[in-house]
Amino acid sequence: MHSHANSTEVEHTDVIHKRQRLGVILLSVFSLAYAGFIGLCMFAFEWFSSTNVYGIPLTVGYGVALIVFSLLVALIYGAMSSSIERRAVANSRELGSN
Amino acid sequence: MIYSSSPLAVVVFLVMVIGTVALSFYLGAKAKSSEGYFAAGGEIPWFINGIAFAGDYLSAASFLGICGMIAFYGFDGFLYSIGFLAGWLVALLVIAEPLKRLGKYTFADALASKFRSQGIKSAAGVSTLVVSLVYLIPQMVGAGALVKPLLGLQYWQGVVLVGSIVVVIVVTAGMVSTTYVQFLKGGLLVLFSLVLTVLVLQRGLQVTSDGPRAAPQRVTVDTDGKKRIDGVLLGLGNDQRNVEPVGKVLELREGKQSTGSLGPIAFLTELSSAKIELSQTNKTTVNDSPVVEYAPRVVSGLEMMAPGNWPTFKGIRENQWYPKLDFVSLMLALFAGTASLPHILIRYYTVKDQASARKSTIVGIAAIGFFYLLTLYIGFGAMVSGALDPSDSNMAAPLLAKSFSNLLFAAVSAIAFTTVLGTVSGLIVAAGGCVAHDFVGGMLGMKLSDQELIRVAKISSIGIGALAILAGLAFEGMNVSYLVGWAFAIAASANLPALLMLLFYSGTSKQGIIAGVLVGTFASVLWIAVCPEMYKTLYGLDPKQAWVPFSQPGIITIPLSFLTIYLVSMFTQPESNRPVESV
Repeated sequence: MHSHANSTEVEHTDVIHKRQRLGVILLSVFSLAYAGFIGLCMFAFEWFSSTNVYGIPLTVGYGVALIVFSLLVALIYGAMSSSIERRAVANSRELGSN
Repeated sequence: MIYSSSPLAVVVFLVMVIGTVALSFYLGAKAKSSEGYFAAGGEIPWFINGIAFAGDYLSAASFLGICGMIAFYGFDGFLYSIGFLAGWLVALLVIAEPLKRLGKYTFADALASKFRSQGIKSAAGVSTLVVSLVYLIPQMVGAGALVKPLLGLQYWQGVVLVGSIVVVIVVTAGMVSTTYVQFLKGGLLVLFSLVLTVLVLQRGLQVTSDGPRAAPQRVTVDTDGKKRIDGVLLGLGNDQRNVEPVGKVLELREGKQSTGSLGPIAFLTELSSAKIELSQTNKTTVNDSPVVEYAPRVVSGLEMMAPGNWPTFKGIRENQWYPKLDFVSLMLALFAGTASLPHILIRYYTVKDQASARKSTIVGIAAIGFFYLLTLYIGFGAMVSGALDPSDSNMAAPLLAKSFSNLLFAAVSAIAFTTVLGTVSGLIVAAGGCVAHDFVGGMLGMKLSDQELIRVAKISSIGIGALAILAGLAFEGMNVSYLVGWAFAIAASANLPALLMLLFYSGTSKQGIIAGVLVGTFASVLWIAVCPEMYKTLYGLDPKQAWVPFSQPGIITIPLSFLTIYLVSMFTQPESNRPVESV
């Protein structure tokens, strides 16, 4: 179990580690998408600026997609973290009843 | 450009400001304990906190700076939107829950929790103060720019006004009132940005009936200090002339004169094939007297949707390494800086638990992400509104609102002003709390009662407010987004490496964290002090003489801070420094 001296919250280390791993994986995926955007701006400027998707320049399309993707990643993390915590609570109840 | 104040704008402005101060008084009176003052007793509902995140974060840089940059330089401003939002993923995925779990009042609490170290608290306190002060500068610059058209005041009067109101708010309030003010402000900002976007789409694009401008507008200064535009006295009187607004469509595709209402995708498609007239500012000196020229600049919509139009980003189109490094460095700072900003980090202590911290961050990301999508339309809408002030990019969004109606202008300006008030209050509360907890309670080891802690924080807030006013006066005229980029770079260099190493590297020592925070803070501040942009803008010197080759320090100072923590930790692993508990 782990908590800060001033914190009233106590949480199982396993839950913290699982959530941390999930966070790192999702951040790595998002970082790749973000780095790809910066890389295209820097090294494929001509192509990036002149390519259109459904009439919209790819620069704007990629930028808007990154913003939407941010929200998607946030929602996935929220849902999966809640699920990890619910499972941990269910497991500890099960252990307690045994 | 000279502005006349509108009575309606003044009334709306006064209502907003008085409402904000009254709310602060009312809620501030309820916060008696230090936990209530600094962390709202950890009782703020997660949804309120999430929108308050948006209120804290969507500062003058976001609303005024980004919209202005998109209006004048197109896609380059949107790069800031993307970077500012991306940083929230770092906050959500690796920082939010540990920070809530490990700390109580300030970011320094969390950093020091593993080692119970006053040294870490003091180092983190230094970084909090430095970041807060640097972040305050663009807010004050934004405030000074806003009051010119809103109240017809001078720039310096706006800076002093904001500084004074905020000190009153902070001294009479605390985290509860700051949170609810931020909640209202964040909500109103997103709502009115949506209203502006709907109006922009409804208006569509129209070719100007005036035709292209033939000659530049030249502003000269007489020996007695009076300004003239094209030889005529600058002003609003009968025999005077004002700077003419810019930003109009010269041509639409297929020879159309007007598009009518457009959807969000059709607006971008039509704009990308339009020909637009903007202005380019050239500053020269004739007979020792400054001359500013606003020359017409015709661009294609497609060109404005590509990066590299803003002079600072121009280098990414060229085959030179330093401008490219400058750009990467900025984008890295925006990505890593959000999760290191003191006024954002303290908001994790206003909710009751880790799940609430996570949920409020997700709500914040949704509100902030939605707002940043809207900046694209507000910025591009302003670009073709025919209402841009060529002398001040920061005024693009309020002037776009003015092109629709005076009431909307008054409302948008008042909201922008409360945006500045809210962000400045949040920063000053964070900095004041840091002085009380991390310096007086931490470094000096003084045992203070609740009331004494609050008093120390309030007195510190007055001093920090005064410093912010002075800094705001010194940086007049700089784009606020660019200034914010520096604050992000310092925060990212000072705080994020220490937080990440503490969470993910078990060999991190107390000394390593102290060294990393201090090296990150001072290396980035020093880099900025001797960079080309400072030489050009603040010192008035040739930027080629600058000591460092580019202006954004993050790409050097963030890794430097990581390396410092690693190396110092490697050499300082005595038994006594073993962690009390593992994270």
